[in-house]
Amino acid sequence: MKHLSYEEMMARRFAADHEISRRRLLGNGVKLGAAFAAVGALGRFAAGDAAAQEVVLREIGLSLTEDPRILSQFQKDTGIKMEGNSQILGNQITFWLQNYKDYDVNQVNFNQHAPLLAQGAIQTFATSDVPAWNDQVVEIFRKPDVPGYNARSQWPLAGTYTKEAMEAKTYDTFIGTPTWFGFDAFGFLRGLAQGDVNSYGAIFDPANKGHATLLNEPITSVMKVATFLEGTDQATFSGTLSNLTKDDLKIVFDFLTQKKQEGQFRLFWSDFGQLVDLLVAGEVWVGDFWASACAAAVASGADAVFVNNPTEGSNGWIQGPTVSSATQHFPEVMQFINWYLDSGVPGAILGVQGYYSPRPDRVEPILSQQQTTVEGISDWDYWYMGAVPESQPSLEDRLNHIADWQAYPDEYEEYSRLWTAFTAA
Amino acid sequence: MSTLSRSLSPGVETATVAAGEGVNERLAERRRNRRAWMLLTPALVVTAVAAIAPLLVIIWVSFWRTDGLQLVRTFDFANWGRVLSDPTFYRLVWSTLRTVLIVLALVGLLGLVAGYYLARYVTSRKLQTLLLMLAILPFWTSYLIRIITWQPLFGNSGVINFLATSVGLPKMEMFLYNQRAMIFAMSSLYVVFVIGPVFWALSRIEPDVIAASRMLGASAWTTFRTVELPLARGGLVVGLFFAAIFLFGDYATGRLIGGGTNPMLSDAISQYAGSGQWPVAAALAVVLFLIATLVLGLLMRVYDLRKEL
Repeated sequence: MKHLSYEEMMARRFAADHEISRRRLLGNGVKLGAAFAAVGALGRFAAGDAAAQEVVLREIGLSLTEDPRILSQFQKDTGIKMEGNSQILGNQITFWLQNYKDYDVNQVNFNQHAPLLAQGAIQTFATSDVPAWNDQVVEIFRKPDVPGYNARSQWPLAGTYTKEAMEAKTYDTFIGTPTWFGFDAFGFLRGLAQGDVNSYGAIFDPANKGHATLLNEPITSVMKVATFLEGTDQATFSGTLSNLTKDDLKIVFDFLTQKKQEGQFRLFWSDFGQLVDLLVAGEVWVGDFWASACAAAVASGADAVFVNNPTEGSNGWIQGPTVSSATQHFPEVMQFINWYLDSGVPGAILGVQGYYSPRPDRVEPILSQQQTTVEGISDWDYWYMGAVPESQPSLEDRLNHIADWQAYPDEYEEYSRLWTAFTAA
Repeated sequence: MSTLSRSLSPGVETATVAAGEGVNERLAERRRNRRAWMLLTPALVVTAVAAIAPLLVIIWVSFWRTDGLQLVRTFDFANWGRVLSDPTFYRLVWSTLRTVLIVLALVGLLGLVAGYYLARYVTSRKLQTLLLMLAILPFWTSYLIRIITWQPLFGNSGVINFLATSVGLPKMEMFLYNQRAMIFAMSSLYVVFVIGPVFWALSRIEPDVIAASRMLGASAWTTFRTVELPLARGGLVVGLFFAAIFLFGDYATGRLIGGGTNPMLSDAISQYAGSGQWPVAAALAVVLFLIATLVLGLLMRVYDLRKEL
């Protein structure tokens, strides 16, 4: 499929709309015939034309991306309606594989790109289709060997661009467009968690026995354990942290199973709401908490802390739209993706939840106008510039403390099998 | 000839009439059969579309396999070989069977006691209805809310721990996030399926039957064991039947109350299906179906529900 530039798409769309209008006018003219019926006919024509122009896109994603504030602003700005369907993490891939022919966009973690692409459920597209993807995009998504880039895994570039674009070093064809990204690590409840709370080791510290938790999902949890084991020189892996070999996995799962048998874990959590409840009730003290769950727990009175830059490094992740291989609205989907980056609106809404936009320059005008509760510090200063570094380091600082990026491992079946064995151990 | 024909004619007439009646009867029976099939067709179509077809698809998918990132729609035994050679599979089967049997035993016992109490010790019809309604009341809310209410009751900051700590006792963490907690929560969720049918079965026993047993010298326990329990067996089995059907598919209780630390087959199916590993998920679903059929078959051996139809 040849991908058109944004300007070409808009020009074709305009021409197509006019062609439809002309044909419909002629058709209606023949049908109605008599001139005295012209008023009624024109009325019907106008209604029909409006319906033809009203494109409705459909997407799935996590509740954060399906925020009604984002979707309604998109419609207000472009006249295109996007119907959002929130999915929980565990359902997203299955739902998409079963329903991608009825949807246009899947806003997904880039660590799921590989199976979606292999199953033919998404299509790749040219970076030139998204005009907002330009020199203003943060360097980490455009070139290798910059702070945050992992030379072994080649992420985040390897997760963003096609294999061909990576090999040719052209970085001109997307698997998906990064629209927000963040840094996963762990968190704890202040006053309850014991030991060195700057290290993932707190999750496995016997002092927190019976009060630790991990997300009940293999990719991210295994990567964090591997980050801890390698970061503390307890193990050396032949694979990358996000793509361990079978031998590497044995080391990780031997460690995990032993910890489980010693009673280290209180439970394995499954979703955002459950985690917030657990933190508010003080059921768990330390674990691989999400930054947004910590923020929600703090709002409900818990003294939850998200550790931004753990000693062993954080695990970067990328989220963004992938495009259904069956979409009938490719130009409008490109318009949506472009708006997501260019308007700054989603970036600002997600920015105050601790997540970053690849186009900070478009987010800055909005966040600079929003004040935090700290006198004289705007949301921009707080979330991006690190004005209060002890609670929120700058984006630059976080890129400097990244261990690797979450990816879909080659041995996923083994990850999954061993994870089930571990939870059932 | 004429005599003969005269003498034969009544018989011929009778035979002709009989043959005519036979044809009519056959036609009537055929019409009845046709009508019966027509009446049956919607149910058969629904069963075929909603139950048999999905089951066949699941069986078929269990013979697919994954090749790297590709889902290979084939028919070979590689997936089954992989599942059956994995020790975790047997652990999951055992965990499922054990949990289901323990919960069924608990809900059977509790349901029997509660149903017996309602039928024999609560004499007011109004009070009986009220208590039954109270037992069913939680079912007016969603399944998830019923599970989640377990947390404010037994959680760290829950009612039980609040009372325990206010009288100087240490906090208890035994009723959340372990297998014990999961079994208790499941029992509390599904016991209501047993109370109703047991109550209904006990209420149908003629008081004279019980009176006769007692007048013949049987103790209350002997009467219960030899008269009431056999007669109420149908209600008990119906209740266990429904509880078992829900139990086999329940993975949310295991995750939210059990903390995901003792997964059953249903939980593993959800995990594998959620990550696109459909052949493994389908194979586990087939095994779960077989176990469910086995358990339900055993219940049917205890009491043939068809007698009640």
